[in-house]
Amino acid sequence: MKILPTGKKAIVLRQGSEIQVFAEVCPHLGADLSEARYCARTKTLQCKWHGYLFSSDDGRFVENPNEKLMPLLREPSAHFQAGKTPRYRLGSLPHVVAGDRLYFLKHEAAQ
Amino acid sequence: MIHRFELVYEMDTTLGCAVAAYLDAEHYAFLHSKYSPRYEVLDKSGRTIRIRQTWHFNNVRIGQLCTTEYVPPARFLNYDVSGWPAWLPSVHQVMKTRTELFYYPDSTGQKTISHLVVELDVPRLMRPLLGKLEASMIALKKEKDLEDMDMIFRRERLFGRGNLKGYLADHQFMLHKEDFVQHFGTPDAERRAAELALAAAPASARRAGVVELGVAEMRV
Repeated sequence: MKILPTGKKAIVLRQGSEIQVFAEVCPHLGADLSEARYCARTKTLQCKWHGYLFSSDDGRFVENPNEKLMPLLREPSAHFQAGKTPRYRLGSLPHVVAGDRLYFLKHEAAQ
Repeated sequence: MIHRFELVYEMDTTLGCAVAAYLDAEHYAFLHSKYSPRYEVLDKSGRTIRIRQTWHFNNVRIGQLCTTEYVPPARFLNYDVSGWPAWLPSVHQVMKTRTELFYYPDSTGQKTISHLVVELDVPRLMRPLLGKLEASMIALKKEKDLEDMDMIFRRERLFGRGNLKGYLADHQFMLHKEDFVQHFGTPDAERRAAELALAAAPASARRAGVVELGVAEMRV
């Protein structure tokens, strides 16, 4: 975890030669993902609040483990549509790697 | 003999956020994993749910069964607590536990009073243990509420105080969602829910001068 000069936090993951930088806000309900559990084997980050799993490769939503834990309660109703889980994705922070340094960018670098 | 005690403190959040945090069952097995790493729903009937909370102790899975009941808009009951597996010696074989949690607004309407009433039906011979039992139940309740408040404060910083949008979204699961939307789905409904919660508060309810959670506790 890295605290940026702006006071915001970032999650920096080095997986082999790849470096991923994600924003710390869980796209589900806003938990601090710098406290997430990282699993190198499954390449996932698990939010500590609700256990939602995200890919540490690209930040995409992988699984909500609660769907298996309490299927009895997850009956669709007027205000709960079980099949409508959003395609959550972790926010990726613009950055560049130069040598052994990582620079965070205020804006995405021009291609 | 019946041993009764109450735990009253103020939570610096709106009634809707406090109720949402309680009904948000998806966090029980994760944020509160220290207390019950496995949370299973065994049966559901209306607003009553039978749950099993288990953990591992020396490679043996043990835990407890409990019935929880929601009385909208902001009252929560727990009863019929028993040890699991049934053959395992447990304090619940000699003690009946019933808890009733009331949430209601404080005198300013901006904060929420958490008012827990606990009744323990125990044999007289257990009297010397009641102090420790009561202290451990209070400590556990406060620890879990502090974990919830941490998340509530974070959401407040990110999305604004009292923001329930995330909970009200139709993809978001929570216990008794229809009841929650009915009572907290709009500002008007939330105001009515606060009045109902006040009307349902126990006779010993107090709305001013209650110490905030994490600072100290007020016991009656």
